[in-house]
Amino acid sequence: MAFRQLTEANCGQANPLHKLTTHLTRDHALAETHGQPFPSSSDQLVEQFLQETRMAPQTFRMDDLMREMHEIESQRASLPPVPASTVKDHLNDDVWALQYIEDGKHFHVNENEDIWSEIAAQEHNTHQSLQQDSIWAEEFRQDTGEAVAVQASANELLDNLDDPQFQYSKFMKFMKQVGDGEATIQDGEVSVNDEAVEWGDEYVNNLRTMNKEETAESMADDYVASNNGEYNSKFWDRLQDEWKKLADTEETADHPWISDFNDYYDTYKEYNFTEENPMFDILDPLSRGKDMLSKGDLPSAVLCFEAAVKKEPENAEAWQLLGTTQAENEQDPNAICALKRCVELQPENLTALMGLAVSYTNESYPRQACQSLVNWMQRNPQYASLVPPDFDLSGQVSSLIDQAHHKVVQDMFIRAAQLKPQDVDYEIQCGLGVLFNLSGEYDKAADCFRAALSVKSDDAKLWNRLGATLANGSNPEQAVDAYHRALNLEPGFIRARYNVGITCINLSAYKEAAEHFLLALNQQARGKDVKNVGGLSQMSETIWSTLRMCISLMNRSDLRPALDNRDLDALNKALDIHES
Amino acid sequence: MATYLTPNRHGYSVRFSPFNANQVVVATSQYFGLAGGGTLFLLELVDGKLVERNNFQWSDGLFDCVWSEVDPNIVVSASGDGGLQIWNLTGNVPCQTLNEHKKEVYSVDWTRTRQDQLIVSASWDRSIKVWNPTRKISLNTYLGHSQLVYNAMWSPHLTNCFASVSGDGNLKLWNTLNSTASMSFRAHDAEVLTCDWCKYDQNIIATGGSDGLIRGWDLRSYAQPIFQLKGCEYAVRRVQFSPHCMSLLAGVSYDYTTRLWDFKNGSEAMETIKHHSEFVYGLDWSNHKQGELADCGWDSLVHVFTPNSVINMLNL
Repeated sequence: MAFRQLTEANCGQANPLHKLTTHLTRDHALAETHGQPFPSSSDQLVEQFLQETRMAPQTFRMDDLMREMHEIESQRASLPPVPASTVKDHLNDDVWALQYIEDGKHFHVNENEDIWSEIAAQEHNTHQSLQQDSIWAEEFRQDTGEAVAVQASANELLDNLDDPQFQYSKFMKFMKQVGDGEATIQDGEVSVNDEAVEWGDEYVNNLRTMNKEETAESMADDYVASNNGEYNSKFWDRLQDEWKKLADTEETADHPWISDFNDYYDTYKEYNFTEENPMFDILDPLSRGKDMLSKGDLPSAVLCFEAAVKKEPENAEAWQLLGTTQAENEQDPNAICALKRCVELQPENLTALMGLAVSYTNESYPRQACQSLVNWMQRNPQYASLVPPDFDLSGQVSSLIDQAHHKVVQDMFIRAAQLKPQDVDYEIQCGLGVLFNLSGEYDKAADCFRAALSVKSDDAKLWNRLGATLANGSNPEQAVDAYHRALNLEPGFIRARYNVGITCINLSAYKEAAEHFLLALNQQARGKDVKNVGGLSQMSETIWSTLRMCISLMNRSDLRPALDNRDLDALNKALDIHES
Repeated sequence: MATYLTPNRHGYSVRFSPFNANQVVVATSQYFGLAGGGTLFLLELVDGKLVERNNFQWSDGLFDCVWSEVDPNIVVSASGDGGLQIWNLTGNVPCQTLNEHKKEVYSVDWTRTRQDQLIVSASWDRSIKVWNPTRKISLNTYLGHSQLVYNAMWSPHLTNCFASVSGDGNLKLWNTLNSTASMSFRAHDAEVLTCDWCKYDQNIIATGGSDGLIRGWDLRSYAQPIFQLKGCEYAVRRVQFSPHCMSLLAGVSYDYTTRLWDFKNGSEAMETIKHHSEFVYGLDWSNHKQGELADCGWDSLVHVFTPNSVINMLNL
């Protein structure tokens, strides 16, 4: 019962309604003024202490710090509670409360029918005993004090909130009733606590059925034993270590943690090869892969290129093709690994750099994406002069990019586009498209991709990017058109197929969506030279799970067994898809 | 979107079952939790609709609930009378009550690390207690917060480690072996109502305050937050990391909204959902269905849905 504590004088911050008021009003105002220190004076000491230790961590003394903090806190605990609001003044003002009872005309006068019919119904249900009725008299004084304070709190809350947003809130209406005295919240309303104790006792017995074997002692032993886990102590030790280092280093910027963090975000170090690859045995996997690529068979092409880079780990072209094909194949993490390797071997490979920018964007690594675009420009003889000589984003913590740096990169590309306005460079437009996507300016991004398409209308990848941009900018209908252009140019373009399916889901066209996903899965399954290879099934995992969601949106639970068994034939039949 | 109305009961917390993808429990209170009793609802998604399977009555408002990680029929609720109730969903009275807290219990959480099966409860009596659910007496009580403790959450990676946040503005990290906090720092210049651990990195934790901000912290270097998410006009009531995407967070607020952020993509919310007409209090991501979210609020509505921006996480 949230209001019971109102009558307890020992709690410094008693009233929950008052708490709510502070959540809604005071702290909100604080946020607006950019977080002034807490107004509560008792906290200032700790805050000051914390700030000092934060600012000057010359030596590490966590234990001392904690002990001191503890001392400060315990000192404070022994201080009398600081009255923080008028509510509490009212609360402790016994004279006033007593006077109020004397006046006594306020109680049980109540106009609010809704609330009281509800309360009456409840009281009827809770079998109030005569005994409780006799206690009522004793509780009356307490309740009165409580009701008064509650009313004051309600009024305080209402006074502090004039946000029109809350105009129709039932809660605020309820508060108003409480504030006006139309409704009174009292402890006696649901006095079934006795019953609760009974329940508790009765079910102590059930405790044994919950756990027959273990005795309390053995459980306690287990509990202590489990605390000695190696993993745990390692974690605490390491954390302790980190704090120590942190305290030892004056400049947090030099802290090794930052490079850790960069490594951590650089998750794409090793390319993840398909385990069993039948293409390892063929003579010239690279040209075979190109052949597969031209036929639109992406899964087979990927295997060929994987075999090619295994054979010739220094062949930049093979890495580049592997990367770009994986990107079309809805496999950005592997695309990033392969393209990074390609750029290491051949730093001037512009295709790989642009591909990296797109894949990083897809995986939500904006800083890395921007860095790739900058590298692209540096390596491009036409535009290299536009890049400031020592511009580098790699020193920053995290994968996030701040607006200022983003703008610098964006400005570079805009200037590049302005060099030859009549002669559109589709790669520049494509880079700008990526940058606008990163900043969420989808309309501008779509314009850039359209400009790129005006000079390179047969590029399925560009059409797909336009589609995705339009879909992100909530233009799903136009997005579907763009995806279809991509698919007409390249029917085996699995990513575009998947994207159009997603957009169909957003348009609630679940059947069409399911058809697209099934087509994509059929295409992957048809991969001519391979069947059931590890990498393949891994690749289609996303599509399978999205298809599952789509089927459930169609309310076709009858198809769940077929989904569980990954039975393409059954699904094709059920959705009436004829594999060509 | 599936919706369920709990008439005259105002939602405080909703949680998906770890065993059954279609089940949720909802902890509710009468009179916005300020008076009256509480009801725990067991709801199930059937053909895209939420139907009530059972409900359980308690004499005081229910503020939080959590499923057992070992038994699909056990749920623990936290109540305004300072108690915890362990419910067997096949019965209709609690099979155990744990009564030690002296004031409202505002949060309850069950370990997820498999080694131990423990409960942590946070209370307005400024204490935190750890329980073995099969014993009636708590294993330990943790004191240190100088104000009401609003939320305590087990680390998903480390046994015996939990974090707590309080009206004193601090986040504290505890090792259950020690009676004092292992670390403590000021997370907000306001009351901190909620915290949650990143599911993919044991050092990252997010806090939400009555200043309307969500902050992300790296426990190895807590001098300043690693990210700060904006948008909520009033207090952030609950924040939770997605179990499926490292950088995705959802939060609910007193401003009636449920919002989604991708902390790698800046501080602005990527989606704001306003389908409640009172404070939104409860929030949970489904572990089973990627992107599915449940929320509940003081308008008595429980929603289970998949936000567009999650469906829409498209690739160029």
